[in-house]
Amino acid sequence: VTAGVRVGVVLLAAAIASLDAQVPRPAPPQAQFRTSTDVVMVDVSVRAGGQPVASLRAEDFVLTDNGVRQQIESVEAAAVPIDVTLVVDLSGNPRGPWVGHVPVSKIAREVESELQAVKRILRSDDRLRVLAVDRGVQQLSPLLPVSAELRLARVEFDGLSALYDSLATALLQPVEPARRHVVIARTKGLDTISSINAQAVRAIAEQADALFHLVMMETALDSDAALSSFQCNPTLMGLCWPTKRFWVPFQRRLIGPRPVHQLLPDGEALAAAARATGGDLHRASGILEPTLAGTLRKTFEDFRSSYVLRYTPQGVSRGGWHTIAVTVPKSRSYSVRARRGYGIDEPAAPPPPAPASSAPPRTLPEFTAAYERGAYQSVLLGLRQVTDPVRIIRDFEEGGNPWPAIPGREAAFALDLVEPGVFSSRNGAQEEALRMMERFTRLIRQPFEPDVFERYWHFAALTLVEGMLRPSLADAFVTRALERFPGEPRFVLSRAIVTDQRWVAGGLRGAAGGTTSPPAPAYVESVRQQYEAAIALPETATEARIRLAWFLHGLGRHAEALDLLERAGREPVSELSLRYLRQLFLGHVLVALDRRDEAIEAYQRARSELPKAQSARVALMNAFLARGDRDEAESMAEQVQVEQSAEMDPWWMYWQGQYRLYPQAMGRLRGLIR
Amino acid sequence: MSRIRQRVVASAIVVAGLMAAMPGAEPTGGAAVSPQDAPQQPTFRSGATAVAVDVTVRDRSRRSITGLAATDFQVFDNGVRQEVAEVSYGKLPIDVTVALDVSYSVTGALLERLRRGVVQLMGDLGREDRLKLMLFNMRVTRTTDFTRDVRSVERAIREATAGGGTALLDAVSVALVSSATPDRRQLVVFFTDGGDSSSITTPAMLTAVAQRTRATLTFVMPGSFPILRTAVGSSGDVRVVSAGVTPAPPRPLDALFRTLAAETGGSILSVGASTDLTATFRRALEEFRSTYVLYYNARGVDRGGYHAIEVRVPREGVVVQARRGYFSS
Repeated sequence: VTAGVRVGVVLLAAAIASLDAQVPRPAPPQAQFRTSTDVVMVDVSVRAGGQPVASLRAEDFVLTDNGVRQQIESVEAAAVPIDVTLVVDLSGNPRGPWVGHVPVSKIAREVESELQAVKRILRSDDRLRVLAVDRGVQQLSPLLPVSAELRLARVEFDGLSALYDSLATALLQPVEPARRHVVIARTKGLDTISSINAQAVRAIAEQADALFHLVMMETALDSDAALSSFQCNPTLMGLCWPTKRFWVPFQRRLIGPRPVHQLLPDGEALAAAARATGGDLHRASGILEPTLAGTLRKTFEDFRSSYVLRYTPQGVSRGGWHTIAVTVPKSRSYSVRARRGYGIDEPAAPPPPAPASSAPPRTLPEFTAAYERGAYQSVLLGLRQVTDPVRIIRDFEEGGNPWPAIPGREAAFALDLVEPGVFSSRNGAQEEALRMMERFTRLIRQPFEPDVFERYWHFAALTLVEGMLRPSLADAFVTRALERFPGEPRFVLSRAIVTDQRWVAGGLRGAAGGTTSPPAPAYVESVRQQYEAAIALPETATEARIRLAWFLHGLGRHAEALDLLERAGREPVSELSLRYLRQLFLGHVLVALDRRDEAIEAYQRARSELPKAQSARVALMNAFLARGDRDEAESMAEQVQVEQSAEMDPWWMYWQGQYRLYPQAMGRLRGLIR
Repeated sequence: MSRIRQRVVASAIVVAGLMAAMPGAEPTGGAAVSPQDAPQQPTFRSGATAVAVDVTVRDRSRRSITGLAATDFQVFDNGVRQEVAEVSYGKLPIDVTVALDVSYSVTGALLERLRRGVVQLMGDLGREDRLKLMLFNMRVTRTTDFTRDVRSVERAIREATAGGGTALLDAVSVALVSSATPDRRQLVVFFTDGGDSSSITTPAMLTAVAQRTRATLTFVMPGSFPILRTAVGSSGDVRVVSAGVTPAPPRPLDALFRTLAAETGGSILSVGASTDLTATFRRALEEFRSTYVLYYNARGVDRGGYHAIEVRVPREGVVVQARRGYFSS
């Protein structure tokens, strides 16, 4: 029995985003239909004695929207092409223990075999997409016509499960106006690392434009449960992830009553989620477990015999939840099923006009309001004056997403909010800031392919953690960013910078030189290789050469440093700070090589780039004095003390890596969410 | 003015070296130093380098020993015994440069203690002495040029805003290189926690600068930190259970500070968490004030390069402190 509702997807996207929980979001689809009115289409299945009832007309149906009877504009019984999203569960350990060999190829063959069976049911104009539940949401196969050759992109296993994230991703896939979307998910019901919970999945399902069927893998769950009880025993293996599950496993018996897998509250929520879409939760019958193909077959029969009712809601408020009821009054014996309703989020009321006062915001509501107005400079000014960054972060997390209808804005705002904490000396502030950033690295993760927003978010986050100069904490962020964007030049450079920072952050090296303890050869080689990886990428080659040169200069390898700086000088460099640093470092290297006149020329070139920068003046002062030009040295000393620039000297930010690019990264992020 | 004193004045400018002094020179008063204040420069005589060296002589109780004459000193320049031509004691006016670290690490109540300490220091200055105030975090700023105006110095400290990184080595280098009036002795007092995050000057460069300049460098640095153990009472109140101090951990640049102090004839003064900075600054000034200035013509040694100096007072129970050497071009 099938039912479905399709409302303008613009409304749907807003409704979905209204969930407090963060979910991975697909790219926003185009609006199907809506200008000033919303057209609603409802899939209705009518059966009598288990058989579909055909030939019904609009006047045979009674449809109410929030209790108000609606005029049905059309009834379609024609077979509509469908998009099927299959969700297979590869989490935990299908068919084997977590330890030892995982039969990847065998499992892949089984999945492929099952998918072939599904394809045989579908029609030529239907399409199929395959997702997998695993540590994250894997797209094994994109949405393709059923005639296309099915090739699984990859099948990986690592034991963790993001079930709820995967289901939400499947339900949130956009649907084209002339098609219907069916989601069939088969799962063991285990979840270890999702960013949302089962209640959120239910809320999404209630407003999603998809028919959702859930198939329980009861046998697999029993196997996993038995294995887990062994693995979780601390005296044995002690390998146990904190795991949510939605039913109580029961050891299957060959003889005796059918095992009962009682649903836990999460399971009830998922069952309700499926039913809210007109779908169902499918469980074992006797010793037989439902299969994907079998479930689709049943679903498909319903589709073939279902009607699509179309109406324009009248006499009801537009926003909020709409309860739908469909009946066929002419026969009480008919079984009629349709989805229970749909939700529309009205656009939020415009924010109140900005207060007349130009005082920067101080409280979270003030920051939020200013951010919403686009008063970013005011927000930044206010954040610089925050005295308790931990309080701001906690208020933000407790308050939930202030802009549920605008994907990404919360994540971008979060980066602005953590900045005071990142650079605070208050106890626990950095940890609190990093904890929130770590949470958002999961929340911004796009379900399939990383997108430009995620890329810039990671970049902005990396500039922040580089700026902290706490490489041991920054490592995890770099690793995550590179996992999502392998080979991204700025991330590759970030890896090298963070490793390089270990030397200076540990107090083993002075800012400009002076080593208390030479680093281990393995460490030196690691830094060199990581910088060379960044040198191989055109976007970061110059900066990586300059940084590697400074690293080698610190080790006393001045000739190598000189060669790198000269190479960097042969490349066009648009960034002023890099041109400045190259000349400044060149001067230091030449001093070390006892080429003082050339060093002074290099320092003077640095000064010509940034005439008031302190570091070039001080370097020049020292060099003049060493050469015996005392008057010149004193003149420089005087300039240092008296003629100052409000701008930051690039050298002062050298060890903070790419933090200098944080404003640009944030500007780009804000542009993406505007 | 004796010839050798005249030559030493020249040496401070021409030789790019040493401490120059001119006992009996006319004081310049409380105004900032200007080029016109410098005396006329005599011609440097070739064949010998005129050198002035500050020497502190104390007994084992750190009490200054006064009344010594030229014949009481033995001076060696690069190992060659030199003849001390003249000795002066406590006659030259002093220029004190106080450099305060106003990075994130020096804030609040500590800044207030510093203000009191510097104000008292100005009160201790002699009639001809002057004080200059430098503030530094990553920026090095001369807030007040040489002056005797207490109010301007006090106001500058009150208005100081703490924050930012620390360019300590750069600040030391700038303080040492800053032009000095030849007829005055130079004391530079740095108050800092000893951390450095933003200097472009390396330790080696700074040591070279110290060898080529004439000021005496004294560091006032924390030697201990307070420890408070607290407990939360039943009503949620936080109370101090015990209080104490812990020695400051070794600083990465400690060896450099010792070298700089030794090279310039200065010292390192440790202060505790609640030490009266007034007394500390006073001690730094008194030690510097109770210093002999010895003058000699360096003979029998190559003129250029680094000259190691050794000063002895061949008496029982005497501790002699002088800078280690100078650099002559």
